[in-house]
Order: sequence, then C-alpha cells, then structure tokens
Amino acid sequence: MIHLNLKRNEVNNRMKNSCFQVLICILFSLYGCEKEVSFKISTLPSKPVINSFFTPDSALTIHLSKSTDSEYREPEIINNARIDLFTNSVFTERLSYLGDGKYNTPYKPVSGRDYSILVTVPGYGELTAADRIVSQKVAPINPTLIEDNFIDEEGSVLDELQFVLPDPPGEQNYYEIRIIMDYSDSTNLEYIVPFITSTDPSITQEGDLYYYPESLLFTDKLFDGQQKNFSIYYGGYLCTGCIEHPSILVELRNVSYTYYQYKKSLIRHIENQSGDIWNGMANPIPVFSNITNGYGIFAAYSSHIDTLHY
Amino acid sequence: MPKLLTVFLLVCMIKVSQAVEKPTLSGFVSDSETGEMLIGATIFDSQSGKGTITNGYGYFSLNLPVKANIQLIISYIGYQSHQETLMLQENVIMKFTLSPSLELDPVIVTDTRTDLPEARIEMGTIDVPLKQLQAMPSLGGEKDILKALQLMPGVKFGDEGKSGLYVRGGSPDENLVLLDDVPLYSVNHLGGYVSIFNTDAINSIKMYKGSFPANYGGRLASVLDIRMKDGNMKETKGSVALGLLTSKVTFEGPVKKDTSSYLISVRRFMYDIFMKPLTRALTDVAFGYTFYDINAKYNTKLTSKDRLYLSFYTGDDNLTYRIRNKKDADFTMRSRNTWGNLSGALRWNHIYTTRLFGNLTYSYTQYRYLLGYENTQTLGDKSHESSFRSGINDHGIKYDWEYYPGSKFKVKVGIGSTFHVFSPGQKHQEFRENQQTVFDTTFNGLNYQAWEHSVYLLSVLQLSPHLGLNTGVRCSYYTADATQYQSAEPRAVLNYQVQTGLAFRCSYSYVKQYLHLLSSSGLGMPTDIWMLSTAQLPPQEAWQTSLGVVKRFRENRYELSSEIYYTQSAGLIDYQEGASLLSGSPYWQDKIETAGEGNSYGLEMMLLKKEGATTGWAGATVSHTTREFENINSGKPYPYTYDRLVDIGISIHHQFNQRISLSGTWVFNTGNAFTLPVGYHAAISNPGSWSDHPFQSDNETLVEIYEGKNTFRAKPYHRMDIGVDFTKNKPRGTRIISISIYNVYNHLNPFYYYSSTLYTLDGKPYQKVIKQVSYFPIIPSISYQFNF
Repeated sequence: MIHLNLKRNEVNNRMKNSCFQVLICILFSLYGCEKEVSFKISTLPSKPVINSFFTPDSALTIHLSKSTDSEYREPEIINNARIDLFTNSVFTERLSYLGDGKYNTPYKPVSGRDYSILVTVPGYGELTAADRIVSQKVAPINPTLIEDNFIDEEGSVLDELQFVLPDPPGEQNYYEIRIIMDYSDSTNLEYIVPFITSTDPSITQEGDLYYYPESLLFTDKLFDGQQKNFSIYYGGYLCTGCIEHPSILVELRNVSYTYYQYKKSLIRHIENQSGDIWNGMANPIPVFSNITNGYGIFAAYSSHIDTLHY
Repeated sequence: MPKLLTVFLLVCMIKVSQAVEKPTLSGFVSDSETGEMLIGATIFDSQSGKGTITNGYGYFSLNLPVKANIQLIISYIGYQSHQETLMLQENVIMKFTLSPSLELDPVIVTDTRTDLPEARIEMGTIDVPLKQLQAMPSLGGEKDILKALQLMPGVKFGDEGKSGLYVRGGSPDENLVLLDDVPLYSVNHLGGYVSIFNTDAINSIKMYKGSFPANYGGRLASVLDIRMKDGNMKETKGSVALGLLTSKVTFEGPVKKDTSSYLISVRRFMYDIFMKPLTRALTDVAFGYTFYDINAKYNTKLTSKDRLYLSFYTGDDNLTYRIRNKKDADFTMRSRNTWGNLSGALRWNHIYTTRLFGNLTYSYTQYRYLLGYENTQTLGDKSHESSFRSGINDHGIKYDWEYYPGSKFKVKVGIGSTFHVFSPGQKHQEFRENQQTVFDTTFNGLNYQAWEHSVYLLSVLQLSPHLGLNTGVRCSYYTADATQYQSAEPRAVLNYQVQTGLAFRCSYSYVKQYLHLLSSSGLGMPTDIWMLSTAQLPPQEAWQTSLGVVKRFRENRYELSSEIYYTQSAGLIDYQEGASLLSGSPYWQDKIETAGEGNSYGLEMMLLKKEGATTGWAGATVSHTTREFENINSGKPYPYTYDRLVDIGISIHHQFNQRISLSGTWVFNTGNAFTLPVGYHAAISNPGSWSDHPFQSDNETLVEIYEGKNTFRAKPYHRMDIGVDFTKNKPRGTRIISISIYNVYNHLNPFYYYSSTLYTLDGKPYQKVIKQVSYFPIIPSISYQFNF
C-alpha cells in the first residue's frame, strides 16, 4: 500500500499542478511582484468568539476568545465569562474555567436533547447559542476495506472502504465520514487520511470534493430511510518506517444541521480567500455562525468509530 | 399613443410616395486595388444635398432628382475621394472604386458626408477605423481588436491583459459577437489573454453599446459586428508574420478576376513545438499547449445582382500532457484539454430592385470543450477514463431585406430562426479491470434543445432637416420542451440636429436574452458553461435609456461626444457562493443563483480624431454598477466586481512618413471592487483538533470577518504602452517591423490582493497584512511581417 501511495502522491501532485502549469510557465515571465499595501479599514469592534463541538457521553467544553481587528493583534482569551448550560431550555450547569480560554462541565450531553448556552462576558453583554444532538446514532454495517481498488479521475490509485449506512426514516440526517490511519503499533502516530473521495451522488453533489477535504459531509436527501451502500476511496501519506498495513479507524458522525452548515462554509471560506492569475480578485465566503452577538460555533454531533484491518 | 402612431405612419407614407417617383442610383463601393467592399462609405450629391452610406456588404441606394446635374462625391476614411458628374434619368446600378490615400494629411471634405456625427441616427456606437485599432501597441506584440475596444468609453476590461469586454455594466456573455453574421460563444485564447480575432483577416468592426438596432437581438449589453475580408479580387497577395506570441500566414486572391475571390489566414501559437520535447527530455511529463485560428472565405458574383459568400472560422486551444514513469513502464497517462469554436456562414445577396436589397444567411456555430481529463492510465490490469464535456451547436437561418424608398427613409425587415442544442456539462467515468468494464457512468448526459424565432422591423427616417428617428421592434418566440417565452422589444433613437456640427439625441431599448453563461471567472475561460432558458431558468432581460450630445469642430477633424445612460437588468444568474463548475453536483441547476438583478448608470465622454497624420481618441467614463441576488451578500446589492468609478483611455497614432509611425496608449482607472477581511477570529476546523493555544496554529483555524461583498476598492490602475512600426518597401513586397513596449513606466498594477500572516522568528504569528500581487511589468516585444 505504501508503494502505491507513493506512486499516487507522485501522480497526484503532478496532476494537480499540471492542469495549467504550461500556461503558468508561459506567464511566469509576466510576473511583476508581490508587495505589502495598506487600506483604510475601519477598526472592527472586538466581539466574543465561542468555539464548541459537543457530543454525547463526553464532557462539554467551550473555548472563549475575542475577535481581533484587521491587523491581527494578539487575540485575547476570555477568562472571566459566565457560561450557563441549558438542556431543553432548563438550566443544567454552570461551566468552570479551566485556563487558556477553556470552560467545561462534567455534564455529558445526551442524544435527542436541545442544548443552549448563555454566555455573559463583562463589557460585551450576553451571547447565546443552541443546537441539538440527533436522537439516533447510526453505525455503518459491514465496513470492509479493499486495497488498491480504485483509480480516480486524476489517475491516483486508491483504497476502498465499503459499508452500508442504515438511514433512519422520516428525518433529515447529516453525516460526516473520515478515515484515520493508526500507526500506533510502530510509531505511535495517527494520520487523518489527506485524500478521501467518492463517486456516490450523495457525496459528489455536496460540492466539497473540489476542495480535497479530509472528511466527507453528506445528507440523506437521496436515500432517506434506506439501507444505503457506500464506497469511499482514500489515499494516505507515505509513512517512512511505518508498518505496511496500519489499523484503519473509520469514524461516522451524525452531525447537526448547524455543524453541517458550519463545516461546509468553513472549507469554502478557507479555499476562497486568495485570488489567482486566472480569476483575479478572490470572492471570499463568510463562515456560518450560530452565535448571537458574537462569532464562532456551538454545534453537536455523535460519533461511531470502527477499527478495521486489511 | 394611437394618435402618435397614426401621425408617424402618415409621415412615412408621405415620404414613401414622394420618393418612389424619383430615380434611384444604387450600387457598390469598393477598394480599387483589392476589390474589397467598403462598409460605411459615403455617397453624397452636393447639388441636392442628399447622401447615404454603404451597408455591411458595400451596397447603397440613393434617390436623386430626375435629369438634374448630379455632382456625386464618394468618400471613405483613408481613401481618396472620388467625384463624378452624371445625369440620372432612370434607375441605375453603378460600381464605384476608391483608391487608398497616399497623403498623410488629406484634405478634409467638409459637409459632404452623410455619416457626419451629428447626422447619425444612432447612439452608443463605436465605429473607429480598423486601421486605427490595429495601430495600437499591444501585449506581446499581438494586435488585438478586443483590447483596443477596451479603451473606449463605456467598455471596461476585466483583469489586466485579458480580452473580456464589460459594456455598460454587462458581463461578457451579454455581448453578441458576430463574425460575418455568425454568433460566437468563446472569443478568447490562452485563458483570455488573446482574442480569437486575427486582424489580418478582418475588414471592419462596429460596436453598439446598448440601444442597438432591432435587427440585432438575443443579448443584453452590446453587439460587436465583425466582418471578415472578402479576399482580393484583383491579384494574389499574401503576408507572413512572426511575433513573440504567434505566427501568421495569409493568402488572398482572385479565383476569377473581378468575379470571385478567396481568403485564407492561419494563426498559431508556436511554443508547443519546443515545449513538448523539452519537458519530455527533462521530466517524465510531456506538456504541450497551443492555440490556432483559421479564417477562410470565398465569394463570387453570380450575376450583377447576385453575390454569394462562404465564410469559415475554426479555432481551438489545446493543452496536452502525458506522464510516463520511466522506472515503471506500464504506467502511463494521457490527458487532453481542448476548447474552441467552429463556425460557418453561407450568404446570398440579391438586388431585387435598385431600392430593395436582400440577404439570406445560413449559419452554423459550434462551441465545444473537453475539460479536465480524458486520460487513460494503465496500472497493471486497471485503467480509468474520465471526461467532462460541454458544447453548443447552433443552426441559424435568417432573411433580411433593406428597402430604400427615399434618401431620407430606409426600412429594414427580417425574419430568422435559430435551433440551439446545448450540452451544459456531461461527466463520464469509466473503470476497467482485466479488460472488463467495472464502472461506466455518464452524468448529466442530457442535451437541451430550443428554437429561437425572431422577426424585426426597423425604419430610419429623416423627419426634417433637423430631426431623425430610428425606430424598430423585434419580436421573438422561444420554445424549449414545454417552455415558451415571447418578447416584443421596442427600440428607438431620436436625433435632433441643432445646427451644423451639433446634435442631441436620446434612445430607449428593451432586450431579452434566452442564453445564460455560468461563469466562474468571467474571462472566457473554458470553465464557463452556457445554458438555455428553461422553466426554472427564465430569460434575462434589460432596458436601457440614454441621452447624448455630439459636436464636431475644426473642419470636421475632431468629434466630441458624450452620453449618459441608465440600464436595469433582471434574470441574471451566478454561481452560489463557493460553487464552481467542477465542484459538487454534476447538475448545474443545483449550484446556481437565479433571478439576479443589475443596475448600471454612467457618463461617457469621447474626443475622436479619425483623419490626418495624427489620429486617436481620448475617452472617459464615470459609472457605477451593482448586482443583487437573494442568497449572495445577505440579499443586499453589492458593487459588481468590475465596477470602477472612473475609466480613462487615450490612444494616439502618428504617421511621421511612409516608413515610420508611432503609437501610444495610456489607460487609467480607479480600482475594481473586492472583499477584504476587516477582522479575524479563531475557529475549530475539526472536533478534537483544538490545540492548547489556537492562535499558534496555522491559518486554517483562523476565520476572516467581512463587512460585506466587494466593499473595498483596489488601488488605481494605470499603464502606458508605446509602439513603433518601421515599414520598408522591398522588391518583392513590404516589410514591417513592429516594436512595442507594454507598461513603459513599469507601474505594478494590482492583479489581486490577499491577507498574509507575518511571523516572529520563533514562528509565532503576530500581524496580518494585505499583500498585492502584480503581473505584467514592462514587457518589450517585436514582430516581423512581410506583405507580398
């Protein structure tokens, strides 16, 4: 597998770079320069930033910081906030400050419940956010790995993960899948596979493959309530000195709609920040947020992990 | 309104009845040396003060007094005027020839042209002699008429160096580009840096910036009517040109002298000839890129009243690469990426009577691209092929008639149909193992078909010596599957000549466009796809109104004009935020925003000098353009990307003598609209990935905060280009060496901006700065041409 991945990486890198490489070579001589410039940008008032992904059976943790202005001064950690957690609109816990902007509670969220937070930051007023953990955790059926079973449109040789997804009927579900290579036997390292793809319409229609994501987000719009067969293809890093066949951790997440919107907008946000010679100026895309009076995200998911071997 | 219509019809009838009693002089005006028809030449009777101009085929028709002593003056810019005295007793068809002017500063014939600026009953036109456009210095020495037009008021360029035209707030897909009456869908090579128009094969060019006559339709913003040369009727001629970007060869000549002629011109980008072997020798990967254009035309006079034209154009961009692993010989990969046009037209001109001229045209245009990958890889016993295709096939037929009841009245009427077949984007994947197909699927393989029928009527009427009216209506009917759309598009231009040399005019037009371009770049890249209107995707529409004044002075040497306009458009489309052609669903309907609206208004001014040793123009535009989509920028209007408050373009050409000419251009504009972050905040990219100190991680966990779309303005853009042509007559022909310098004072203009992080020595980010990336510094170029 490592040998093939090496080949895949060679090919893939070349392919990715080569599409308009010829034209870029021609235009290279036209390159002028890159220089720092300044614009009159009004100072943006700082706002609190909430960051939290929470999942059942894990202690809920929230990170609090402040946004910075356009010159990016050292962001401030918020260490004097009061954070109240509500379950189904009923007060549940007040979070404790752990340091480094982190607040947590020993309370472990439960599936099928609505969670909201009320955050009071001195000088900034109150912030609120809410999300719901899906009621049913879905686990893939019969996940199977097949080595070197796919050649993608760029000519890369990829391994294949097959599984059946039993989608609960009657509700809109959102999923995320990612694959981790566990080399802990030999090097104590884990890698999220850097390249994951699929030809399944449920995934291709999401529009994320263009960005070479590390995980795949999709909905059950095309297979609501069905037992859906999936094939996921992936390639990995060349791990020098690693064992040839690591354990493969397959994580399937049931994510909330908030989570789904946030991560989809985040990948687009990151990939559209800069222009290029073909498109000129960039067309940046804002990141989704469910925080009132602030920035950031408070989103829920549940997770199921299978450990597989070749 | 009914009363007004009645009065108008009455006036028309009176004019017709007055005119039909007079004999008609009609015919053609052509170049005496080549036989090439002169489009827009003036025929003027100094005795009666009546005149006309030749149409797109060099034809004219003029009613003149019976048995009067007619003093005819035929003139055309860049040619010696021809005078002829004749007695006209009956309808006559004549042929006039004009000789190219040898004088550098010819005597200006004042008031003998009916195309005097104040007499024109049209608005928003750009009618600059082709030679003047060709004389401009250019990037890489490649003469480019689209880039020349970008210097005109009301016409903006997109990104530096590219050929996209943004006319009065419209996007490039809203321009109807006609080559010999055939619409073209892609007019760029090399990602927009070179247009497809080979100037060696072009005879004339005229542009309408809105308010275009009723015989044109199907696009919202502008019409660019380009005519190819017919070919030399007298003798065989040719030229060979070598430039830094392309090489060209052109031949033209008579098939039968003074009866039929041909033209063929080939242009090619030559770098792939050495690029492929070089990359193959140095690496495992062999690259090749090229583009080419072939223009060909044949025309013949069937009788004194019939003429046949056959025009042909094809051009493609080709990008190929092949990977072959030398250590592992069973591993190879080939890929091809190609896009381009193929078009042709068969036209038949017929003179029914001296007052009625007809033109029947059949046209075919094909735009195709194979984008991304069509590769075959074999690794052991596995192989894979994939492709993405899109294309357009249009068959069109139209019949146009021009009727000349009198010298002050002209009627044009026409009917036409176009059959569209669009393939907006077909994805195909095929996998094979042990010679067996494992997976073979085609997504979005549907072709969309539609009929677009149109009928138009327009009249140009000189109501009085001071008042002229150009009115028309174009009706169209569009049908695709079970979807039908209709449209009645009124057009009107009113010209009031206050005094000799001064006129005011106003116009109104409404237009509908049944085609949409889904563009990720707006630059004519192959990643742009065309689509037809459907039930879910209604047509685009726009109306425009404008007000203008024109003044000529200093013996007609100078023309000063100014127009203000306001245009509103609806039914626009765009990609959803973050979507693109290859991303996401194979179905384009899933990733577009529809029902967009646009607004644009502006003031344009232009000073033009067409004749003399020194020619050129200075143009300025002050304008503002916005777009509005429900799901972009929170539904609020935002400045269009290429909205620039001020655009200035100056072009000057000076002919020192027969051997040396100098040209220069200067362009200035305030910057494009774009989006910059006004702040940042930390973000989680993945559960479990949060570091102890998130700000020490890289930018992937840092989110930019925006105040809205396109709220910032790029730094002003300005640039000067100069060029000099050295012409020398040789025993076997004429040699021209052209030297040009792009961006003479090396001003580094902004191409794009991005936010960059500065780090301390220990790798800690401490500041964000905005960086400007510039391309196109000072670039000299040289080209060699030999005409024989």
